[in-house]
Amino acid sequence: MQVRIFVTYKQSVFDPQGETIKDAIHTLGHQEVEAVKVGKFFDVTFAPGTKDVEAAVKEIADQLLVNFNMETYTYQVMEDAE
Amino acid sequence: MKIAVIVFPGSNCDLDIYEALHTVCQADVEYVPHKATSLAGFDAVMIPGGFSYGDYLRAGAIARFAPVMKEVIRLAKEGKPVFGTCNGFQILTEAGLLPGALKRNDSQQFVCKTVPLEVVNNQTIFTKQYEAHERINLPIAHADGSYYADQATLDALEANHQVVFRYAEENPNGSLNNIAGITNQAGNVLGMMPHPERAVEAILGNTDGLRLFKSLLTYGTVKA
Amino acid sequence: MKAAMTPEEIKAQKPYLDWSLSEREYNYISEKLLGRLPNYTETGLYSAMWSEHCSYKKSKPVLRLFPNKNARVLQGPGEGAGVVDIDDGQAVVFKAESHNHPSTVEPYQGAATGVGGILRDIFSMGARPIASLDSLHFGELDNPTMRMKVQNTVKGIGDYGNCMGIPTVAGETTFDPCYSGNLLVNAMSVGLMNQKDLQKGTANGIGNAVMYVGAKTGRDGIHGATFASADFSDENATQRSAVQVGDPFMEKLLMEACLELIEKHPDWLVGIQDMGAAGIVSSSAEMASEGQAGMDLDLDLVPQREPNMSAYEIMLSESQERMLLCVVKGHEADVKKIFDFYDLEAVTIGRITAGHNYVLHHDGQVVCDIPVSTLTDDVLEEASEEREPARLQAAKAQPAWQPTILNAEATLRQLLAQSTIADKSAFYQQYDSQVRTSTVFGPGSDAGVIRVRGTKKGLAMTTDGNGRFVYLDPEIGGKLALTEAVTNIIATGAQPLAITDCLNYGDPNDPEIFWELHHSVMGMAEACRVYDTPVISGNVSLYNENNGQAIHPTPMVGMVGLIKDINHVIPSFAQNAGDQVYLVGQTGNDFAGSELQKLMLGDISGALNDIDLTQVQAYSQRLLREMQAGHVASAHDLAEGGLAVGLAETLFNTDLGMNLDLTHLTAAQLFAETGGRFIVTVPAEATPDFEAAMGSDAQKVGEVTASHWLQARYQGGELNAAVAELQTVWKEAIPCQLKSKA
Repeated sequence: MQVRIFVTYKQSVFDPQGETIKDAIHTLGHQEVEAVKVGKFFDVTFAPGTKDVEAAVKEIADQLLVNFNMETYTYQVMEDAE
Repeated sequence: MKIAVIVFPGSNCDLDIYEALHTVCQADVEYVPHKATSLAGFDAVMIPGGFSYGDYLRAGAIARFAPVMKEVIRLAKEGKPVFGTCNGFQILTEAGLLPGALKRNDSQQFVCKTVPLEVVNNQTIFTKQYEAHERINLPIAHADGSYYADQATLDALEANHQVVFRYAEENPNGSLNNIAGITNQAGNVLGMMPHPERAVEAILGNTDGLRLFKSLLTYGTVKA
Repeated sequence: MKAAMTPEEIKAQKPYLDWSLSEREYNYISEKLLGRLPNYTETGLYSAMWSEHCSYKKSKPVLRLFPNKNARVLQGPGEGAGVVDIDDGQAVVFKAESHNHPSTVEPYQGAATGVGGILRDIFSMGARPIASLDSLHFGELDNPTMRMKVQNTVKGIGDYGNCMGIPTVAGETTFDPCYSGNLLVNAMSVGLMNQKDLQKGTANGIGNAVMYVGAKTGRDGIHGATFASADFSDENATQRSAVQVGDPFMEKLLMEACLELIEKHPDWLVGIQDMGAAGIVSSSAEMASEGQAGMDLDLDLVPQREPNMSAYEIMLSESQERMLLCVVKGHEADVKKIFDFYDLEAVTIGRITAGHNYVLHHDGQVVCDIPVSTLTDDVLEEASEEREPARLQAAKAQPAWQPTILNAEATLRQLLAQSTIADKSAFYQQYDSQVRTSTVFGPGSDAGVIRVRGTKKGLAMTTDGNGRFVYLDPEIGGKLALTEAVTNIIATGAQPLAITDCLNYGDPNDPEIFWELHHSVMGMAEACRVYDTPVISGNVSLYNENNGQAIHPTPMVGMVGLIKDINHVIPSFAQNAGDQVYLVGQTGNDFAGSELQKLMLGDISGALNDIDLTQVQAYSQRLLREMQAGHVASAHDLAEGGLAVGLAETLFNTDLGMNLDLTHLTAAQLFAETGGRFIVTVPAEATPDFEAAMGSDAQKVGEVTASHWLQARYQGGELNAAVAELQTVWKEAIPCQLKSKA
């Protein structure tokens, strides 16, 4: 089973990379783009039959993947790969 | 005073801090590998700059799980001096010994140059030999040096005089409140992005960092 | 996995032609060397090992022209890097390598892995890398694609070197349209060692282990070596995927582990070599060949990152951060323990055998069994046709171009804003130039200077390549390349020791290009002899072309010099008001190939004047003795933009000025690029000694002033410029171009 964990800056934290990319998109001509936020994601594959995946995800995110001083996260349980 | 220089996989300013203390200041200093499980007998800890664990995930994020960090935290809690520069600062924030976090520089680029700083607080064990509000110049060399904390934390840092160094002219990385270095509330843990250990010898063109180590060593002598 | 072709199918279908092995070579291998048809794996190994990149089959006859010995040289070309005695049982180790093709395709990874590769060459010799340099040649910054390539190249160099903790202390960056389709990214590394730790890439002793250490093997960069031996065209876009990805963190651990093994347990180690171009095959075959040994490897034991790799892929993979060791039998576990501490793989993949055969096992089968020397020593050298380029004769027949300068100050400002001359701090501030706390002079000086900890010594280092001069006259251009390096090194107060080089040229099958290679090496070799700076290492990068358009022939010289007493190191900036200013060397009407010509005509043309190397060497050595005697306050060599630009640079980042009488020069000569010149400032009290030593080779032209103005009278005019304004022009030119949205 695979879980995709998305980590981004908190809403209040300035994201200069996102701003730079937004400027580049505007120079491409897409003025309709209002905001770009940059983040990263982690595909975490659990052994089949792992119990309480969500608790594990929470601990992994809390302890390692996310710095709560500036970041926040969401996650999504992926469809099992074929 | 016996000082430990912690070496993580990917640390690369360990030699620089060691030489500043050993050769320039004639201090009693030893390298301690990240897998060490005891810092018994050490009176102070230096966490050097570099790219511990390649800065993968976030700068300093993985180093905090190294076995030696339990002991670093113990010494910090006991009130012993703990100093981190550059990646060492990042590790100290990731380990929760200092508040806030270090973000990617606003320029998105690594920057290596010498910048003017203001010594904001000369009453710490690390800065006693500087004048109040003295201007000094120290080298910086980092990609993730933009200090960030929420407003309440910033207010508390300022109120408690925990901001020790501030960028004095241009802000090279986007740090909030132009913060270049802070202590914990007790004042025994200092983290800073600039590299005082690179500014201790006249042949390299700058000795503005020397008094930081001298301050610490004098404190050690008085204590001992 | 599809089944590999049979030997007969290979003979009939000739897939080796795509791997740059010629039919003549294939036939020679099967008929003369093996007496049978090589199988698929063997054919692949031959095509990689017989590529120009690995074998130098085309350039070897030319490379023999270089001197590579003198009393200080401990190791010349042929090993990972060259080694030079710097007294006290210490040695300096250095080498440069090009990574042009990978960087053109993927500038970030190409540049990063270029740095990684050259660092491995240094620590494989038993030396700790102490400094990195680069030589970068790009197209003009006038378009967003090139600006992106420049930024990514710089970031790649910075990210790798910074993470490794090796300071980048010097380099050069130039811009010319000829590099638009084919960047030049040359990286140089300098290491320091105790002579007793010197290692070689050798393998011998029957039963000794062949150990693989470092990163796992994947399919990256397969045929990188042959890829580097073919030119670019828009059609071969599929080849353009052959780019490796670097992991500087892994390399840092690998370096620490290897150096710990070499320094603490030399008795466990027979030899060590980097897995560079052509991966396992080149490192293992070269080690066995050097040790005159046989070798038997089991490829199933090679740590692999991807499933189902063929023997051919495993052997030719150019995955980064890997080394091959030959370890004394019985010490395999000891060696593994060292690498375990760093969480690195260390696996015995084979043994040294009796005889001279190179045997590979894969999936329970013998997939290769050939005499090892057929891979390394039996390569057919190729005689190349050569012909003097038509443009050279035409240029000699033309009258020399004489520029007319109406406003010297305006010309100076324009030159200071030329991207090749302008301030490069926008790039080099992205490199950590101070880590290891030994950098006395970093980027922006004539040469980088590193002090040797625990001694009074210092090492000066520089990279110099000027394709414009070599293009106009390969032989004189070659002499000028060495002369520029020598003057950069001398300017810091160092004695030049030796050089490494990267020879960057177009397709050598073009007789005119081969002629350029041959004649520029002739010029360089002559200068190496006169300056007593032998070539101790280097590499050749050919086929630097895009859609048939070759780069300017651009040999890069990487030179290292020794400073006996670091307290006598000479800065390139003026020091004190009242110091006297001298121009060392003669100034001629040298405008062909100059920045002035490029500025005024938009292109370069004409014939070069020859340079008297013996004379340059004579006065440079006298200047060096004056420096060592403490008679010199600052020295700066004159290069792009000539005297006027050099004077301005001498005053930048100071609060000083100069008042000069240059009435022996015309306005144009202020910008002439005659080689072998210095601008030197001398404390007033030292001038009698200095003048007595330098004689007519140094001409007093004025003095350093406390006002921040550059004032100079020349024939028929006067230059009067605020240095701060000149510095602004110089400093803002590149950041301004980089920010351009056009």
